Amino acid sequence: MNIKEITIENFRSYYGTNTIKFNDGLVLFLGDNGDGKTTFFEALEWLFDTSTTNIDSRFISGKKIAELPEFESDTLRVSMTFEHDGEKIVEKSFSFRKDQDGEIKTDNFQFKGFYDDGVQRSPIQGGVLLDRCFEAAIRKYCLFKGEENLNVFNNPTALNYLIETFSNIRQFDPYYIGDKYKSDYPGFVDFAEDQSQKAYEKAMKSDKQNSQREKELSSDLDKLRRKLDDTRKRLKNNRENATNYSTKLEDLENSKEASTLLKGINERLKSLYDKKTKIEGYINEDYTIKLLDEMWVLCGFSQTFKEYQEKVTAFSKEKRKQEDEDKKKKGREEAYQEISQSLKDGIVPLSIYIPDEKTMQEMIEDEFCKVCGREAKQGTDAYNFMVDKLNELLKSQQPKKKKEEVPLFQNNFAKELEQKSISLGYNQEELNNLTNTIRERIEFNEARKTEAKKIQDSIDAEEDVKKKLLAQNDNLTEEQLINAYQNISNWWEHRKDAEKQIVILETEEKEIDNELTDVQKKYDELAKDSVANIYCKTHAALSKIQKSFKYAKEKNTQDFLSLLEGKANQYLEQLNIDGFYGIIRILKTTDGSAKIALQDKNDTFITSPNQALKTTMYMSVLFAISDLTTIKRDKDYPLIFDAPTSSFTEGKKVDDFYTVISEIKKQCVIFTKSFLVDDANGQKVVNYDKIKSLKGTVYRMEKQRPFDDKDLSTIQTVITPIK
Amino acid sequence: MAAENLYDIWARRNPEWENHFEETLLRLFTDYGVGSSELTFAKGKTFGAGYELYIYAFFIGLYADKKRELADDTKGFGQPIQYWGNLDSKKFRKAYPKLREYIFTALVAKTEGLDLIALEKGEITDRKAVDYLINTMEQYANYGFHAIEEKLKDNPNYFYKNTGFLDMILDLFVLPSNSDDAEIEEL
Repeated sequence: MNIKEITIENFRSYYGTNTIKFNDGLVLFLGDNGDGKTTFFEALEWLFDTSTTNIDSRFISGKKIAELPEFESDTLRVSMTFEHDGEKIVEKSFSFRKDQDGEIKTDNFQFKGFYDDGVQRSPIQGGVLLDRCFEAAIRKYCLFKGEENLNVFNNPTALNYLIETFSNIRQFDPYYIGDKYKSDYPGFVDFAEDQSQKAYEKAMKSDKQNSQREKELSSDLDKLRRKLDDTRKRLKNNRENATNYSTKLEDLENSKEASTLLKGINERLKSLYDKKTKIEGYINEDYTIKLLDEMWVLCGFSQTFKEYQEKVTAFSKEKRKQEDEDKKKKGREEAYQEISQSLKDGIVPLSIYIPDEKTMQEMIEDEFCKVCGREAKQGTDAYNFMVDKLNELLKSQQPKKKKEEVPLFQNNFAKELEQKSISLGYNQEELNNLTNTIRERIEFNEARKTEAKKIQDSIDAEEDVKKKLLAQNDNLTEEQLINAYQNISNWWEHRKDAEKQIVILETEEKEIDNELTDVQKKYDELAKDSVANIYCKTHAALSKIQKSFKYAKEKNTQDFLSLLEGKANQYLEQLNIDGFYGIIRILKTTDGSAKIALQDKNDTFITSPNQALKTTMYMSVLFAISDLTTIKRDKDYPLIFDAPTSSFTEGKKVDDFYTVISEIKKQCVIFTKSFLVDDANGQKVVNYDKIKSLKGTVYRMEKQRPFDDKDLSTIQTVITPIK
Repeated sequence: MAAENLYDIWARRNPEWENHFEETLLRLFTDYGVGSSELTFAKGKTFGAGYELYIYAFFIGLYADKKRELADDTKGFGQPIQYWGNLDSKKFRKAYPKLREYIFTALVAKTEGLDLIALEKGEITDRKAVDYLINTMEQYANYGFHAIEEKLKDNPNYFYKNTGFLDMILDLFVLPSNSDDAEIEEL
């Protein structure tokens, strides 16, 4: 949607008919206080309100009323021509009439629309047309009045609204809602999961076999479910409480922001908290983890290690000793064998080769010893002697096999154990020193804790001063002052309590949840061998589907926020050309709302950015949202701001800001008093030099002179194009 | 075939522990049974994997020098010893592979029935030797588990103070220093 033209007729300071042409890009209205900027904005708000019929006579131009003769009537009208798939017009008006007492009566409210259907201009109800082309969800993120309303997430439901409107998670609704308190109509998967669980439990109950155990377990399940439900409710309450008290205290503080005393306290508190955080950062009491990761568990190990070393040394020594003896023994045996062979029966035998092989074979075949000339028949000693001798000869001719020696020790674990003894032995000194290391660490932590405690005492003292200061108000009696102080102290305490409770309840929630999972597991085990098993499986499958919907929905939300964050940061970078700007983070809080925060690149949150930086940050988020609406609806929409930069100090910063905005490809309508300077007579005049560099359309808004600042009927806004 | 290291054979084993500790200790202090989860810190558990408490229990038994036979109903961990302490990938944690070697040396030192000479000669197999080591390990850890359980019975909050697990160790080995003194006197 693009605004082409706006006509305002007889709306407050807009006397008569005023028609203003709009172009794409930046449209700037420059005017001083009371020149009609906010009135113009409010005229648009009135036009865009499609829900009520507001014909309040206070909208009517004072000048017009003054001029209107008795019994005559005139019209108040605001209309807008815009481009949205062809040219369209929306127009809201009502008639007013002066009666004989000079009293004004209003009637004949009309809200008309026209669209071009290609052939002719056709009428349509104005509200319908507007809702179709510029739906309420989008309007919400298009019009902004003043600097303090730029934070779209101030409203606790804003984030959900935004996500539901512009992300895709609404598509999940028919299938998955999740939170049963949120809607009377569960999604299909929620319903199916619930029904399958009931069917499963019913089947279990009807199974006689396990009835006793089933009763026990299902009663446990019921108890745990109720407990979990209860914990979650309490958690929700506490979260709301914490947010409420925080908001109350923040509001109170904002109302006294100007107090230098408060500023001083806040500064001191900040530095104390920083100091405390820093000191607490040094404290590391993960002693249990250190038992393993730093091997502190070895602090008593030296005696055992000594035993190991002694055992290994003794083992190795014994092994060597036995090896030595074995060697000696084997050496003796070998020598004996050699000698015993050579000295058979004390007679030195003939060489093995005499007689030779052939002669021997011949003698055996002939059964006759041709050496001694005697018969040697088969089977006789002489014959056997010859056969043995031949065999010995043949054996001697074979390649000689070395005698296989079986070592005494087949393994060499001694080497491995000795190596460990040596390599681990190097760290002995460290091990022996572990007790000292542990003691030093504990002492160090204790010292830091004492320091932190001292700082906490100072914090408490400062906070008490702060509470007293916040309680102070003009014209309070002593008693009222004490009451107010008591009140604030109570809020303070309630907030603290709620925060503490949240931590406890969150742990409790997790514990019950785990317990529930365990009991459920046992219950499912029981189902395994019964008829209910099929129901159990069905329920398990549906449960998984439900969970995957949950994760998908969460992922969608996260992706949407990341996208928004990414785009917002692009704008932030553009809008702060050379100043420090940091990184925008859109944080989803536990109660479902969102917070826009600024972080520096070291991930530290910037707790109190100056107003100008805050404004740029919020506007960046708005531009980002606008980008997303464009993507979602495939259309562009204008952004309209009333006085968004009032906290900016005039100068380069403002010039840069508008230069960048004029280059963003969006229709951006801004009402501002920037670019106006005092002339010699103290009159506001436009600084044309600066306007020159801006791309876009610029209008000057002024009260027509002369006027009486005490008489409304003399006030009339005149708008003149200056660029 | 070159003989394998005794350490490697040992490290491939999965020591056993009495079933009931799963409910009373492991699920209480570790991620045991939760699956691979990075949420240890969020849950306020003291240890990560189940074997971490096992290591701790082992040292309790070792320093007390007390063993306890395991009851019949036992089970092991999903990971054999060789993976214990390799948690480089876990956030906020440091790996401690060296600790396994120290445990091994303690087992060699304290396993009385193991005849190293017989092992070296091949009279008993390396597997049999490792059985002896694992047995010692299991019995020390079993004593440790029972001791932790006992401590918890006396004071359910004992291990929820930061120094709980550390104190239990320190209390055990501070005692032997007296015997050192006695030795000096004797000398």
